[in-house]
Amino acid sequence: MMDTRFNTSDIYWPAVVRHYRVSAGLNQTELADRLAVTQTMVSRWEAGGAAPSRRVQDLLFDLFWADSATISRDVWLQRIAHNPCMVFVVDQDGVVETASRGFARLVGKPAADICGRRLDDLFQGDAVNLFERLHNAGFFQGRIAGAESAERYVLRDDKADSFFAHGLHRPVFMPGPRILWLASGSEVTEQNYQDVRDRLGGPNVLRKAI
Amino acid sequence: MVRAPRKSEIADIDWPGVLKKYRFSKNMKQASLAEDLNVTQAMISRWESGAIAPGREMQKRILAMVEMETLSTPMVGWRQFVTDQPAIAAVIDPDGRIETVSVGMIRETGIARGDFEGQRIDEVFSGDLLKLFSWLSKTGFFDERVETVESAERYCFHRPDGAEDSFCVHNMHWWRRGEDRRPRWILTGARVDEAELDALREEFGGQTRVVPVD
Repeated sequence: MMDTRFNTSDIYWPAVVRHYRVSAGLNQTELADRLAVTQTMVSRWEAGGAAPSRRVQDLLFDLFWADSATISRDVWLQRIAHNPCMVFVVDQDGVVETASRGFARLVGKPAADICGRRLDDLFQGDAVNLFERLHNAGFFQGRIAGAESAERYVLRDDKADSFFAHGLHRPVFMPGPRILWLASGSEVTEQNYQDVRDRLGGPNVLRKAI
Repeated sequence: MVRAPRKSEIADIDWPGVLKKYRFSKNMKQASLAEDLNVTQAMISRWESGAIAPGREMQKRILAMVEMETLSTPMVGWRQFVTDQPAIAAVIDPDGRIETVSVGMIRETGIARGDFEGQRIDEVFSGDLLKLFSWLSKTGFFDERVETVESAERYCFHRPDGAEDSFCVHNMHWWRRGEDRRPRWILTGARVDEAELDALREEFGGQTRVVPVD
């Protein structure tokens, strides 16, 4: 079973606010202006002295989206479903929310049979370990900026079919507000998988938010 | 880009400096870094004091973590995001000039980055991909009249040793505006076998189809 003992539903606003601000190249006053709050307020959020109001939380996540995408979240999700590459979106409980056509092809099941299921219900080994590592590192709280990994996806079925993959992992900031895990990658040969692991010095490398 | 360090570089690295700089830039405690690297906090402390150096595998792990430039910000440039994709991907301008290709494209074709970037698509590929490019142009993709396109191609190209090579790819294409406001073609794809290529073409009613938006 996946370890979900820790309550990750609480977004860690100091990291989320500061990381967004710094990577967007804004100072506290500029971010405050965009959110129609005072600079003191931004400073307090970043110091952990206060959390943004619900209104501002949604506004912040909308800014995140607008800065990194030119399409709406709905179109983006729809595009993922058609994507020929390995792409999937997983929530903080380990449930697959969206699976690309390419991922479904690798798994050998229709996307409809993958979505709505928990990763540890579909796979054993590496994929579940990666989720646990991201989860425990506070990925769904906004503490992680990104990760790179090499996995062997082993299906939890009679045949235990498997494939090797090289993946990039990023948080996606959705209304709610909640943070989802976007995995994008490709099937690779076992040799490629070994090479990536060798370069990373292990199965994955996480990068903390600022 | 993440790059494996050469042996000589590793030998010269100031590990206490690297670790402390990374940790302070992230405002992290030793315990937090220890958790990321799967070691004890005491070990981080010993590395940072210079009492001992991290082992060989751990050195690679630390460097990969520190050098992961592309993943360091949520607002990573979209071109860089394409470049780092493990899948087949490219950014191509309306004139057919290849601006960047992904890690996956380089891996699958064996063609070096420098032999893609700045080249026209017809200088690297022949056959289906050129038909796709002219279809996209005719359909108004570069005039922003079409949002997302799906296609099935056989990529035909010359390997660095000069030999002809090809493989089948299921592709998806969309565009976004570049810094000069002109649209850029973002190509993504995954390799498929011959049977899947045929099945996709049957499904699409040809090489390409516009993905409907509900």
